[in-house]
Amino acid sequence: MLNVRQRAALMAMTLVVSACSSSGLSPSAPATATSAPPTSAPATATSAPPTSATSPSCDPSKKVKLAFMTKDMASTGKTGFQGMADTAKAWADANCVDLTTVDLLDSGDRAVSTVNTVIGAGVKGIVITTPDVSVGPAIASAAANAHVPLLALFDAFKDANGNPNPFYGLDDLAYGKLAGGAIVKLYQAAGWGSNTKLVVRGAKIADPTVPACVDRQDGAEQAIEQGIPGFTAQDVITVVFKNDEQTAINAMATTITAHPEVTNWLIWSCNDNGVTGAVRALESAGVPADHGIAVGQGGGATCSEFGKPKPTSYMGSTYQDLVKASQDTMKLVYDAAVNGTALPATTKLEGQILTRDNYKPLLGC
Amino acid sequence: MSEPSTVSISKSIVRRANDIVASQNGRLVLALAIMAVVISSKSQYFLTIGNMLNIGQAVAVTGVLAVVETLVIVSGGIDLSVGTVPGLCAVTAAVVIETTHSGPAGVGAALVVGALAGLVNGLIITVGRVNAVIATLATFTAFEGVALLVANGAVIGINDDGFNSIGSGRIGGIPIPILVLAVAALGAHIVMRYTDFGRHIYAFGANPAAARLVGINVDRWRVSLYVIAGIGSGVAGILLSARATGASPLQGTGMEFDVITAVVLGGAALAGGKGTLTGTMLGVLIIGALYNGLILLQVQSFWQYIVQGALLAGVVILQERRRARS
Repeated sequence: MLNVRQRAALMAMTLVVSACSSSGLSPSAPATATSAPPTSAPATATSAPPTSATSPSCDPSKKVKLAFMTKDMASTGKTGFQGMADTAKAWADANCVDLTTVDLLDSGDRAVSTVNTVIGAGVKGIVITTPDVSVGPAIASAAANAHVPLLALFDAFKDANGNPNPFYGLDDLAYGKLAGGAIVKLYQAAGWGSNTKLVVRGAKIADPTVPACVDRQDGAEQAIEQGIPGFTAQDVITVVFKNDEQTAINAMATTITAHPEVTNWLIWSCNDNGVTGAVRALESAGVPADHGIAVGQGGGATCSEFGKPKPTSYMGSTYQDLVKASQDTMKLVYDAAVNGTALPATTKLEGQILTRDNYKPLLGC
Repeated sequence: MSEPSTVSISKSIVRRANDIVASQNGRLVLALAIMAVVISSKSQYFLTIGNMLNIGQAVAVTGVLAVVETLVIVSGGIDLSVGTVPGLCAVTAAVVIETTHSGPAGVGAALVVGALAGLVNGLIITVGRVNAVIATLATFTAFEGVALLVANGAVIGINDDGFNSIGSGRIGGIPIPILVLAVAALGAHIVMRYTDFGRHIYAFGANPAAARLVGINVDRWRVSLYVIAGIGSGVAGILLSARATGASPLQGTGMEFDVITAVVLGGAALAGGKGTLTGTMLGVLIIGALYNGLILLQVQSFWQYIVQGALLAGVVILQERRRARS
């Protein structure tokens, strides 16, 4: 039977071990919050040489301790946050950094407790994608009190004073506009505007429960309404789904039935599975592939969709270079921890559109 | 002086109608009818054949899972892993198809993996003597991890037309998933109603101790039920991935709530011993019709959650009051 002291020691060891362990298989709850959907990107650092800071020779006793933690690491897999963590680990190994990676699953509470744990374990800098931005003030306070630089990756949050925490990523509204801009170009290239027989409507496959999704959906809609003369909010049908492909299929199938007058569809969502669900619904309803223009977000389904034997209405997706994001964030936090360099308020990661012409080298599929 | 025969016949009809409406399934049919009237009064598309088929397609997977979940719940158990086993079976099918270029091989693999998952559940519960909620909650998580491993966290495209036709094909104008659900539901109904197997399920669901005393091998039947549930999850995984023409390790995650809601809505008692396939199917249809109607009416999604929760609470309250009176 353990005494109180032994039980406390066992608990402390358990906390430290869990903070130091890599994410591995940490099965998550359903990944419904996809504010920064994973893209397929080479998970190793071989596609680009690690951007290494000026690093000392690697004396284990002089290794700098950093932490890289994201939501839904295991569930987004090698093409998502797990791949980013692997890239960060490779950078760390090349730059004499002792890196702790943690899967925060989808719990804001876990984010708060893990930040406190790793700070207590001597971490000098943290990169974090928090599952819940409302805990931002709490984690920012913990880091500030310990003088540990804290960089928000993809999901921006505010500190305890209401000021934006240093952020790396692409803001979701801009991300949405990128997809919307791509839809406009495809619409123009297809000549839909000049064919008066067509009835074109927008299907916004929407998840209103995730703020980042709302920004992306609305950003795409804004870009489309600005880019297509005469296309207004009245031409947009909101198709609500639960951030998974099946509910997107079901909701879009119902929408198609309720709008028999529509001949051509513009489709966007906050990630790829909303868009691919809508495309499947179009196929089931017998809508020809060239009567739909669908652009997703994050590129999670791009390899699968472009690998199909026949083209579908899926025309592309937005893409972020996750290898670059991992390396950039590690370098920023390393410089802040070792050299005292202030973290920049905002560092933008430019996105681009994946098409049939460029997806293979970018995604490695 | 006796009543005229026409009056007594009318009273008999009214009494019979009251009995039907007051019955569990009668209430569900009434709820479905009221919902259909309200929605169709606001949307001309609700009662169209095309939309009815949409509802059927939308509930097919939930329905198949609800059929097998009914068997498990009536037996006194529960299976929460129906939320993740379909995803595991889906990615297994996709990997096998990618390797063998054989749709039937993918189907077979999915069913075998589903059966094995069910066997694991059954053995943990019977041999390990672990509570079914805890056991299947644990396997829910474990199977999700295995699915992620198998798929390496990615979506796997399926380009086999034969396999994909399971999700998008039609026979006699009826989508195949609806036919699969109909066969599963009818088969389970016959088993529950007319076979010893079905009677045993009700018996040890109501009173496992008494069932053991009369010689029913409760543990063996229980393991069999979880294997059947696993096979049902395999069928669900096949339908999900065929319709999506691709498999994701997280396909089906989250459905466990809708599945159990449908079973409870249909009148099954979580304590076991009570429940019917007819009731479950009505529960499935109510949830599917509700979701479909809210989309047609463009109701803000937050209300969908409220309405679904209120519907479940309302029906369960009515059930409990009826149970208390009887």
